[in-house]
Amino acid sequence: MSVPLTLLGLLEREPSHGYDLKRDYDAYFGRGKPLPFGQVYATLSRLARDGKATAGEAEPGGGPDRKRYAITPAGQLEVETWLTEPVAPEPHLQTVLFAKVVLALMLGRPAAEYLDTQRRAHLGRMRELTELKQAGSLIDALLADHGLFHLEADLRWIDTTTARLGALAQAVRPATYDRSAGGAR
Amino acid sequence: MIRFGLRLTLRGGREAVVRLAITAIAVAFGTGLLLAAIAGVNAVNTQNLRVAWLDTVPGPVAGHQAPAAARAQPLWWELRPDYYRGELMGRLDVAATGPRSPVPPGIPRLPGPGQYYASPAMTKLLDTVPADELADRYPGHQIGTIADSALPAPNSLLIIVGHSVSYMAHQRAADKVSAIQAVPLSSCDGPSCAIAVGIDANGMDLILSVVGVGLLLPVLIFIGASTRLSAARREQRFAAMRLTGATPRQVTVIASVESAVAGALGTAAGFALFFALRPVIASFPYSGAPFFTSDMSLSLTDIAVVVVGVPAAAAIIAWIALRRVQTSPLVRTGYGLSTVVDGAHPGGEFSFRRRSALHRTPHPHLTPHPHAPRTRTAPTPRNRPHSPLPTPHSLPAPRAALSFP
Amino acid sequence: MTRYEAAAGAGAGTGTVLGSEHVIEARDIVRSFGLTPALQGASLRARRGEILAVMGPSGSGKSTLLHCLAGILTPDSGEIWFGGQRIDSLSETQRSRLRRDRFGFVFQFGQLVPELTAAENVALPLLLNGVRRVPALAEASAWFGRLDLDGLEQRRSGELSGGQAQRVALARGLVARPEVLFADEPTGSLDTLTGEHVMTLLTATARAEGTTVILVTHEARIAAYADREVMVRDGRVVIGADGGSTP
Repeated sequence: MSVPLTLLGLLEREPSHGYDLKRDYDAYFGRGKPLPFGQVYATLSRLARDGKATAGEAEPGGGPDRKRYAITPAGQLEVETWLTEPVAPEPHLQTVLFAKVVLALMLGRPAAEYLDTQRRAHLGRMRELTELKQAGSLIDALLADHGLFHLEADLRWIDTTTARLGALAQAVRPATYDRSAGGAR
Repeated sequence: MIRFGLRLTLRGGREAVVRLAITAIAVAFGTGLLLAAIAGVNAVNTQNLRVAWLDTVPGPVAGHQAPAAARAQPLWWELRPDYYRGELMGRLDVAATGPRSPVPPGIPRLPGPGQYYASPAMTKLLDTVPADELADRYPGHQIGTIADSALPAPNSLLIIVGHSVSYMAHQRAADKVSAIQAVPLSSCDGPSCAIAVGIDANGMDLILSVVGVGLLLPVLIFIGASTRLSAARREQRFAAMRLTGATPRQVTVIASVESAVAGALGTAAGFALFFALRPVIASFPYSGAPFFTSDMSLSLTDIAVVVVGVPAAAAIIAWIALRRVQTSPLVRTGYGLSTVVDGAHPGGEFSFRRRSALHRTPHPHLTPHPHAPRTRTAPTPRNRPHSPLPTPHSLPAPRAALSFP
Repeated sequence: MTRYEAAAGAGAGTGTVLGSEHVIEARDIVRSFGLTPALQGASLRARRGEILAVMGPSGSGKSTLLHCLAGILTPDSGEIWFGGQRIDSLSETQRSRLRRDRFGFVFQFGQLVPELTAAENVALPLLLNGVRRVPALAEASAWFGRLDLDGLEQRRSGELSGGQAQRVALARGLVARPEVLFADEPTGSLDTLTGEHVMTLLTATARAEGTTVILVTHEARIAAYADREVMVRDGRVVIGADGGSTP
């Protein structure tokens, strides 16, 4: 689960305070483990240092949590790349895929295409494993099967999510509107 | 293709043979009934013809003039019923006026005074019953038996007694007849006949036709039902053959062969059934007297019609039933048009089959990264107000999931 | 890159003329059943000798697409090209002959004729073509050894297990040395291991014979036996392996 990329993606919606980013991260991706404040600000600082985000002026009366961050074109490119390219397929990828789909929907990106691209990558890997299975020993076959079954499970999730994208988009997007007055995307 | 069809029908395994047998039995019943009805009509007509001579009356016979010689030497004739222990007997008293007097059928010549002919049943009765109860009624002795060709029925009690002309002339009810009736009177329907045997032929035809249809209908339904029994299996089989590339015509041929075989076997069995039961059917006196077995005959035309018609009808019924299959190798199932015998998944594509995880020893070939120990988060309550999305369960250690060589 | 792609070279061109490398093609197929549209402009091309998986959710129209390709159904509009000629406009008899001589079929349920023995079932395409009984059965028997079916020649379909029945169906699909083998959920009613056995044999024999395979399945692990996959959604083919929308 890539925290920097996820925060960057959340940041792309609109300039935000660290506090807001953390709140949204916890809501969608926290899974019961809230992100420590320290990690949030350390990550944001690093992103700013790497030129992917900019830190605005610190507002009076506050520490680092009063800074408003904004994404830079470099940061946008990074998010774009991350969303567009399929993750190398392997089992237990649900969380990363999950994050990518949710963010894609939030940012109005073509989540269906990303999922299709990921599906192709998964199937390609399954083809490789199937070939290995037929060529190798029984032990090889067992290992290949292990990978195959988990990849299949991933694909099932991809298929289900693809079918649900419409509803998911509805669930995800209204949240981006009611945060700051007048700053609608 | 025909040979192929024969093989499918006859060597198709036990189930196919059973289906064939059921259809053949149904056809056999139908055929048997049909034959019995036809033979029954024939029997009535034959019998009517045979007993026509009993309706002999004086005067011109059915519009044809007897030869002058016979008119010159008429036959004294008195036909009356008699009874023995409640059983009806027929007694004909005759006297010839000359050598050319007409002779009734069934006897070689007219009996003279003191002579009589008796039917076989009557002969038996005369032999077994004490003379003072029966034989004494008839003057004289028996000189022969009346042939079957003159009798209404095998068990008819009939006696033809010869007398002198002077005796007959003094009988009030006796008449002089110059010719024996040879054609059944069309108005002969029991009471108006001399002897209560025979039914008006037209009436009989009607009765038998109605009865035949009434009995045939359930049999036809039975045949239809037995065809339907195997219809699903046949449809499946033909659809499978069509899928494999059988042309509609090939399937038609095979289906027809099957029906023809069932029809032919059934028809043959029907004939056998009919001939076996013919004596029993003949013994029913539905025209007033039973029939000779040989009365229930079938003309060649009758046989030809049944032998050709029944298998043909069976084949046509099968062709109609299978028209739907011939147009498509796909069978309509509950899920809509689909592959032969339902290709749709009732459970949908997401029926999840759990498999236990296999062992996780890293193997250089297959796993580009080492498997990290799986960390499990405490499951979160589903109705957390903040998270609109369901939370996924097991998580790998993030680093391990994304590291690649 | 899969074994097939490595052998075949770079990806296919997108010309409208059916190249010699493409053995069968569907162009803009539209097909409805009554008021229900099953295909709404589906296009597909398969190269000679490749194993192509056609995937999609239930109701996406993938089976209908296969039926149109195989000449079982005629499309309402669109064209099917095979071997350089249009086959969607052929008569029912001509398409039947096509199925008999140049196509093979393995569907979810064996579709074996129950009144015939296994050997007769396998020989069926040959018998329908007028081949005499003895040579047809001899040809059929040769397949029993190849597909682990020794000794089952005289059994009837009711006496075969699911996997055996599917392998008999596979033998029947290949006995006439077809150019295209159409498989629609061939392992759908089999358990995992049996299904994998069938798929291994199917792909191995198809590759050995150079037969093109069109494999309709909703299961990824079965599609993984193919060289590439296409997705069917809402009556259209939406993804091809080449990355673009034209397969």
